[in-house]
Amino acid sequence: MMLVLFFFKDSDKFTKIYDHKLMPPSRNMMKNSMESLIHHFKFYTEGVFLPAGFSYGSIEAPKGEFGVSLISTDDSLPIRCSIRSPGFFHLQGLDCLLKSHLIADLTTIIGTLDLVFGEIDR
Amino acid sequence: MKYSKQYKSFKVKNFLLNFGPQHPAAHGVLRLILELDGELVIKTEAHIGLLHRGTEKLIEYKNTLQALPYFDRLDYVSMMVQEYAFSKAVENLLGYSINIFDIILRIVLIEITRILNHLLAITTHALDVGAMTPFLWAFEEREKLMFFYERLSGARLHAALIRPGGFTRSIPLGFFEELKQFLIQFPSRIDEIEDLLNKNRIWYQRLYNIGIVNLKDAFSYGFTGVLLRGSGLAWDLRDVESNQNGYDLFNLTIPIGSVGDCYDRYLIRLYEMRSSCLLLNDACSFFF
Repeated sequence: MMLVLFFFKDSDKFTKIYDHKLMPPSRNMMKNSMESLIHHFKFYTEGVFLPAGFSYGSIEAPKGEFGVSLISTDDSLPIRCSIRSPGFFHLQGLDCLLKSHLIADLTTIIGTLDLVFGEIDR
Repeated sequence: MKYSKQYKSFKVKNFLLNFGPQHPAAHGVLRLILELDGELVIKTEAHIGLLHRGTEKLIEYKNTLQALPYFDRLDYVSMMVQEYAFSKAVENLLGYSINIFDIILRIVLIEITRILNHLLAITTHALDVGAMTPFLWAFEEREKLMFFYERLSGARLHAALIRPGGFTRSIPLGFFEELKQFLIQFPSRIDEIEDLLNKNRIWYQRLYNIGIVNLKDAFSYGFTGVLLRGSGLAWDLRDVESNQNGYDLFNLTIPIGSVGDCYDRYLIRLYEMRSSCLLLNDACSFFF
């Protein structure tokens, strides 16, 4: 992997890594260098090359643990992307939390579980 | 004596109420079938899938760059967090590690997103319970934060900014000065919301000892995040993986609750907003 560090003239503290395997080259480079043009083309048509394997990336989202597991073959498309969303598991516990509570507590508990249906239903 | 023969076999069936997809308090589309005994809830059945968009299947046919905007739209309230998770998954697959500037910049974006999410979560919760004012105040703060999203990416809501390998674009000049201006006035906004809600008798009675989560249930259902911390377990992925994700450079305090009820979780979310504010102040001073 070739790592080339470039300093922008507008923000001299920040760097953007132009690793041709992962990030596209800048437009200036793309217009002046043949290799960068080819990398630009491959990046935007085919995509990043993903080696075969499995990985799970998770983060402490504000709602809980949000995780993405990727299964890939030697291709640029992942063959399976499974999403672990915190709201899905919290919604399953609604029955348990609501036992022997009144209807008025339903809205309170749904609010406190912090559900967003985009991630629950996907 | 006549009547006792008539009413000997008397079957009672509990009332089934459909807390349907169109309900102001059902956030988004939630269909709940409630089995009620008077006003007491006996059983709940959630019917989900009304917002199913086939995201996982669609991603199977898209490369990394094309799949990235799907993640913004999953939890449309905390956008960049999901992009980060996907970027992290791809970077783990490739065995790639990003440089320290990008790590801290991602932390800045995630903490901004955390404040965005908690502002919405607490105040829409309050709106459902009946307190209408904090909702309006918090959404004004969200507008100010979405200004930062727009500054960085061009989009107020679905900023496809965090990409495997770093970011889509570089940070414009003056971004951290503007963020600092926001952070100077933000803690007093949290104070205003607290003043309205914390010691409010109605709020306290509606939330105290409601929805208590005990840890055994939390583990068996797979709860994470604020629900675990409300029950007393100090589990925060930012802290647990802090040697990998850059949070070891900052002081992170994890609030935990004692009872595990809704009131504890409300207080934890408020505190997390404040601690995100402090984290952002530290990160800003790292950059200028």
